[in-house]
Amino acid sequence: MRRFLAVLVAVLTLSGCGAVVPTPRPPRERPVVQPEGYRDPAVTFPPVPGCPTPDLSLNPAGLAAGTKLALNRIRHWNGRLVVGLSQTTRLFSSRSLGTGELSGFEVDIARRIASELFGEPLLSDDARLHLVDMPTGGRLYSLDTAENQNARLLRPELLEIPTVDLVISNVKISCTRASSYGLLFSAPYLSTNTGLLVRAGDREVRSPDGLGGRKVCSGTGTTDSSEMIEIRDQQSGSGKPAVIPVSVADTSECLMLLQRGLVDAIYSDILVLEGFRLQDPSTVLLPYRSPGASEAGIAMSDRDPDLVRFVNGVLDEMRSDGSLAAAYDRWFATVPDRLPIPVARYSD
Amino acid sequence: MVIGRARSAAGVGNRRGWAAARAGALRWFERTERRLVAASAVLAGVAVLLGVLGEVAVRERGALLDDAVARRGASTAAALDVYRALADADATSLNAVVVEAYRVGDERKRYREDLFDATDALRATASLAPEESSARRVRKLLDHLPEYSRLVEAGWGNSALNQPVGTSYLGQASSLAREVLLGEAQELHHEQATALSNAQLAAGRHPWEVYAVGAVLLVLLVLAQIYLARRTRRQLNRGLLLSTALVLAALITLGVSVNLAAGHAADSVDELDGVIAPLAKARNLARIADGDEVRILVFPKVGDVGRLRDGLDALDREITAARTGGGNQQRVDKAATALVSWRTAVAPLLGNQNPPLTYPEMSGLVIGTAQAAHAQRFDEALTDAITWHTADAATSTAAAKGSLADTDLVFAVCVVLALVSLGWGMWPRIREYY
Repeated sequence: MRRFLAVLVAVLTLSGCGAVVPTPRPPRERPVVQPEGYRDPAVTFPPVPGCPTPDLSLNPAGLAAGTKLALNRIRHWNGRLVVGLSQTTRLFSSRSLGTGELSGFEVDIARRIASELFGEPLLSDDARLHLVDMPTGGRLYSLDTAENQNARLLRPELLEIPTVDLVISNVKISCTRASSYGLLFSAPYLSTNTGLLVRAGDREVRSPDGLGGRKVCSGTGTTDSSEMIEIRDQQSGSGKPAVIPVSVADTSECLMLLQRGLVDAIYSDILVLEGFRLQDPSTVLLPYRSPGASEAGIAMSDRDPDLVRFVNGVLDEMRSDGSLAAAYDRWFATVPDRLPIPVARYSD
Repeated sequence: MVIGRARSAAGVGNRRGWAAARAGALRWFERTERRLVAASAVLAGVAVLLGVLGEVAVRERGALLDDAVARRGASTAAALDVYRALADADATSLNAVVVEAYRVGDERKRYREDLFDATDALRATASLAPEESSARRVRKLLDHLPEYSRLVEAGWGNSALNQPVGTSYLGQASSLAREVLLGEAQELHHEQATALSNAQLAAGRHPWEVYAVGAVLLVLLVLAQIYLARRTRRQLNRGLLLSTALVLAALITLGVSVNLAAGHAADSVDELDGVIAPLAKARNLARIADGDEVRILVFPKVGDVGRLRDGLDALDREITAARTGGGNQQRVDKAATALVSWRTAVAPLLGNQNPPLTYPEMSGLVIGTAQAAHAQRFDEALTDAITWHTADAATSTAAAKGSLADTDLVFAVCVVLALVSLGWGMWPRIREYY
């Protein structure tokens, strides 16, 4: 009996040793999906060289004396003004995808220019005004300039970008852009500085210093992104916790990343940020403002100086009759501490 | 020194032992009846080996074809469904924000059905193709589908409120679909289709090892016949003759069956590779082109128009490939006609128009009733052709399996009868000497 019990115990013990042990499920993490062109950390692009006459445009007074090739082309040969706009920048120019309607500050300016050009108010569906959406990454290639023609020869995909007469798309006036694309800018119609948008309730954050160790999003290759990289370097240099600048191909994607919790703040033009805030009431635009300011102008081909003078004339009229300020107030009234509309400055 | 001597003595002993054994064996074989017993044993052994190898070969091929019909075919179809459902979801997710308000509900419903179909097809693929590589792809797709769904739904919600951030969500979802989901789905389908073709080709491969053993057995039978003729002064041993004929019959049956199966399997593989593959690729590319059109409308990027143009050109090439690959003339022509109509309808999108197209003009081209019908008709024509050819390929696979039906039984009966005949032929001769 004892032997039997001993054998039984031994068998049971051995069978226990050989029993199959369930393999634990290996730990796995939810994949994080980032937008195309997302950079973490953001990288600095080559510095923009200085500009001798950064913001001087052509005086509308010179229009009477010069030729009017571009204006004749638009008014008489083509019979239409083609304007390139964004369709995703709320307050500036955005489209209701369902109805197709475009609206915003820049749309108002485009309509006024077209009305002045053709000498009468235009209805929203008037065929004489073509409002065309600009593809991301190519809006300034849409102007007919020698530089852009060369670029199209080198990069055939640029041929698919439609050719337009004006680009009104919050284009920051810069000499580099003017020389790279062969552009002429109108006098500035907007002046703005940079701020921070964070989620409401992020009480510790007042400025970039409160964002140490957290991700701040800007558009790749923009001045905003370079400024944030500079702030990070200053913070690291002074031993403070540094922000983590990240960047995306299109600044509008930053709002999506903020909503998804993938970044903690957006550093950009405050007027753009206000457009974001209005889309998501759970965000807040901080009182922080960058020290510098930038100006936006209407971009045109350097082959069309008469058009530049004409557009400047329209903007002057809008300044003097108060319609530019009215449009500015209508669209950006909720933006605290916004800069006033800049005065026109001409080179001749 | 002592060890060396001992080794030397052992070596001599071994050599003597081998020599003695060899001499003993030769002495044993000096008697004819013993030679006959040994020859019978060898012949029987080789015949048994032939029987076993033949059975294994036929059953292996049958199992491969069964697997091709029951598992690989289904997993290939499921993987194809995964791709199609996801590509359709990509196009539909974008359509849902640009169509007229009364069509939004239908588009959203279709998108959700696409996601369900994709998940369902993934589940089917996971159970039918548990191999590590396929399992990894299924896992990756299943990992990303919830995020994809969230992005699209968030995009719809924001776009419905005219919030441009909706476009960012939809753009991100579309990038995820194209860069991750469709890539994985394509690889998954490629793996399954390759496995299906390989299984059928392997099933049609001739069992050369069986033929070799059969040839050896035939040679041994002839040699045994000659030996017996010399020893017994009889012209022919009827048992050996019958055995030889039965072995030959078994080999011929096997060869003919495998040959027929190979022919049918090759037909199926040709149809899968030459017709169904390009048609399926065309259908997938068409769904992507459909999505490209809406992308140009919703969030245009430099390069989108070129990609759409290239996609439509690729459709032409795939249709031509399916036609030259032996596609059903009527069905392929129907798809080609639908493609021509589609291309004609969207041609203004592809050229650099002056003046550029306005949003209403573009949206008329992309989502207008006529254009949507062209893309839809093309998709339907391809689905019809793919379904027809898939059924035809499955019929060929079933015919290949049918060609091997009962071959194992006939082969086994022939070999067993050959063994019996061998005994019938050899036993009286052996008995004569005892």
